[in-house]
Amino acid sequence: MIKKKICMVGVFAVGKTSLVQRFVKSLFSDKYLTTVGVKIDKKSLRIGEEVVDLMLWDLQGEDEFQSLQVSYLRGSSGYFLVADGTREWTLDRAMTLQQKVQQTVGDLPFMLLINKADLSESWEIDEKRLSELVETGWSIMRTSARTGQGVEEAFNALAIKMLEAQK
Amino acid sequence: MNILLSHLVNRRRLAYLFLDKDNNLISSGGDLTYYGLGTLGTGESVEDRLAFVQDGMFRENETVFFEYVSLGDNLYANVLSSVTPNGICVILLDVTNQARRIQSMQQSGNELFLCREQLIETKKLLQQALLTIRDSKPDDKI
Repeated sequence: MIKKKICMVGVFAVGKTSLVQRFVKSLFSDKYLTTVGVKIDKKSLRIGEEVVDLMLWDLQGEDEFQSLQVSYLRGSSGYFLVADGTREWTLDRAMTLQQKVQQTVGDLPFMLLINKADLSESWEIDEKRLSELVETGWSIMRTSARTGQGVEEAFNALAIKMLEAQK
Repeated sequence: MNILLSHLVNRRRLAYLFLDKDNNLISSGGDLTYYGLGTLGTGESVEDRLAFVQDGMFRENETVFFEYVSLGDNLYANVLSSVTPNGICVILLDVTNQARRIQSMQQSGNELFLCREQLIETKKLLQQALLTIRDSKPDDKI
């Protein structure tokens, strides 16, 4: 069995914990509960012939009190950058965090998740900006932890990227 | 030294594990039961019991410190580990109370921040609405 560690990275209240809960337990809660430190969950995925055990490290979001603790990134095989589509500045911070992660763990497979797709009428992040990121080689998916839109697909896609990277 | 050790075991619920290179238990001590590890047997893999223990996590001559690791059931520990000639040493110290205090403070701070963001957004929408009303009825006094 293959084990892969994935970190959830982003500022506070973008939905990192909700995405993990949706993926692992098919649950969603509207109540915002800030994460302290790190919570680790597991889920197995079948990718073709392989069974991959995903270790999901849900890191506390950056906020006024805490910045990203890079020690949590150790041993990662890939990571999700998570931004909130209704708050454009969370994408700016996700881009800064990506540089920090890259400096710490090097070039690992990653995906940018623009979460809260169910609130798309309130989105501040425009398509042009996302297209520019795609042109630079970033993989981007729109997700909703509330409805489940794109969540399974995102974890599957990152798992495939991580398996391809180890070949 | 004994007083310090006693304090760490009793007040901070110190627990320690020595693992081989495959993350199997060689020996252990301290308050393992507190962390739900009381039944862990020698030779048993620790990976299934402590999710942060995995291949490639620990390297020789490096000490790793993970702060506020959630171990389930509202239990948080600070984790210190290093690779020694005898194996991988993992130390757990309880920080549940500190984590709760930080969580409460962060929660309030972040909720306030989100409220402020919503207020700014609402103000913008109101200003836009006001401008629209003025533009559509230039002669009316509001």
